[in-house]
Amino acid sequence: MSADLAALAVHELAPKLESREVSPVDVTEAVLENVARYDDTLRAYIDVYRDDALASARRAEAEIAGGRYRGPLHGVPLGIKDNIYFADRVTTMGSKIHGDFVSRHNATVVDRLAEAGAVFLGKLNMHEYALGGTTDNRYYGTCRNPWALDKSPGGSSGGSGAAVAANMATAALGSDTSGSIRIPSTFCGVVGLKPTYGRISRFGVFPEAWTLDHVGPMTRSVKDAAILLDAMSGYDPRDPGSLNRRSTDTASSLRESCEGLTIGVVEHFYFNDVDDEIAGTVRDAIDLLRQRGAKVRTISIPGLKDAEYALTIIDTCETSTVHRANLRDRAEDYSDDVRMLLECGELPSAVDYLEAQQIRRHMRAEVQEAFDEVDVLAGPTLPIRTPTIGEATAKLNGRDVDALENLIRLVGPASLLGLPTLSVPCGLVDGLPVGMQLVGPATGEQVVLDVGNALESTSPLGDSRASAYLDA
Amino acid sequence: MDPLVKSLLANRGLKPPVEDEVPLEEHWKKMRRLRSDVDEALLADNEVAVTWTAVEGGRS
Repeated sequence: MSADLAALAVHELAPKLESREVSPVDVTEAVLENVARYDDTLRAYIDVYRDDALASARRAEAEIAGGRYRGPLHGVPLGIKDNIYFADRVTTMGSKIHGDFVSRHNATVVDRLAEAGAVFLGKLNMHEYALGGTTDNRYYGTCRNPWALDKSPGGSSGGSGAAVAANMATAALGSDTSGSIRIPSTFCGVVGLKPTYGRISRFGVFPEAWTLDHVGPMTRSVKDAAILLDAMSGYDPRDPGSLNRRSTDTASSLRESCEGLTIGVVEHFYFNDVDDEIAGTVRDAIDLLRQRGAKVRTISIPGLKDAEYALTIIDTCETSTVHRANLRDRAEDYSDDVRMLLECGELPSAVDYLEAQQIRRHMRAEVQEAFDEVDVLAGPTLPIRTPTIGEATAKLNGRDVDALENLIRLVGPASLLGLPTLSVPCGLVDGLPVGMQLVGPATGEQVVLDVGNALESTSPLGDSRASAYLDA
Repeated sequence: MDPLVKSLLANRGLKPPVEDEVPLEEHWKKMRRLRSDVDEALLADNEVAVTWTAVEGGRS
């Protein structure tokens, strides 16, 4: 029973908690049991709040028993990426430099989830400062992929992906600047939502790049992603980028049909230089959506070719500004790959940065026009096979290609333009998950969740689940 | 190291370790190549590229 409880999705668990068929304490204990059993191998957690989580679960149990049920996250155990602040607890950013950093306040997302009654399990491993795609962390351990222990879980929110896939959290939070939710979601076979820029507050989240940073859920189902989005979204005056919009209400109106929707396929970008088997799996998934009523239309967005340039310039410049002092005073305390990225951000001029912003504006206008013709864009989240831990390259049709460059290539435009994007598992290649990316217009979370839900309703992974960790 | 890259870093007060020199050069070459592929017409207009507001919380 306890193993089953740890494997349930939020939307499966919530009615059992509300009806008191299941206790938040039992669920939290089941999940913590998995953490105790498997985390020495997976290294998904940096810090586990065992006692606090159980105390919180007991409070939730008492509230529910007293008729004060708060909603679908009440009593649900969640893991939080370790760049999101908890008051009076250490938040490391996966780094040595911030290894003792204690915030005096919670991040807004922590406050909102606490109000919803969530139980916090602890802080999840990540690529140092979120500046990389592997979660091979020099200070807090190499996070492993629960589907294949020699494979990377992706990053930077690799601990979040691994924890959800290995039943060590019912759901988790990640952050995404250049793909850091969608990359590990794909490799770990979970759902990841990067919302519209400004939709979820970043107050109390350590910055990577201010104009690109997003916080979002990583979950076992699309409905779970909607539930977490609804709980966390809404205007926050403490985040200067916050959208002046009310909280979303997406979970209650999720559809499983694509009737009336048109899916855009940008062959020249999203299917350019993609591993054949991955491309084939995603095309099969698009056919499933067609069977669910979607029209599929091939469209062209030529400006996407400049996304890599604009994103790299903006991301590295903003990041290097955040780390300016520490790069000069404590360069030896960064991992080699992170130090390199910070040095890269010192090279462009102010003119380069502002030109990149001009390119970004033109691209936004071009993509907005595309959304006059289609409701969502669909394509592979990633073009490459899951990289092996410790290798800087990955396989693409048998070739060795630069892993980091190819991790960012297809997820980059939606980061640059702040568009809501969902990565949904859509099949397996060589026994490892493949992700489909659904990109919507700004504030169009509902439509990407609807299409993702329609795909998920076809059970594209069948009965396959991450299981390599079970033998560890 | 490429003299331009070296001088850019020196101007910023940085002296990266030797092992970073080749990757930095490669990165900068790639950025210049990607920039050369950008249509100059995109950059020729004088419309506002970066917005700023004097009113806190004024976004909608």
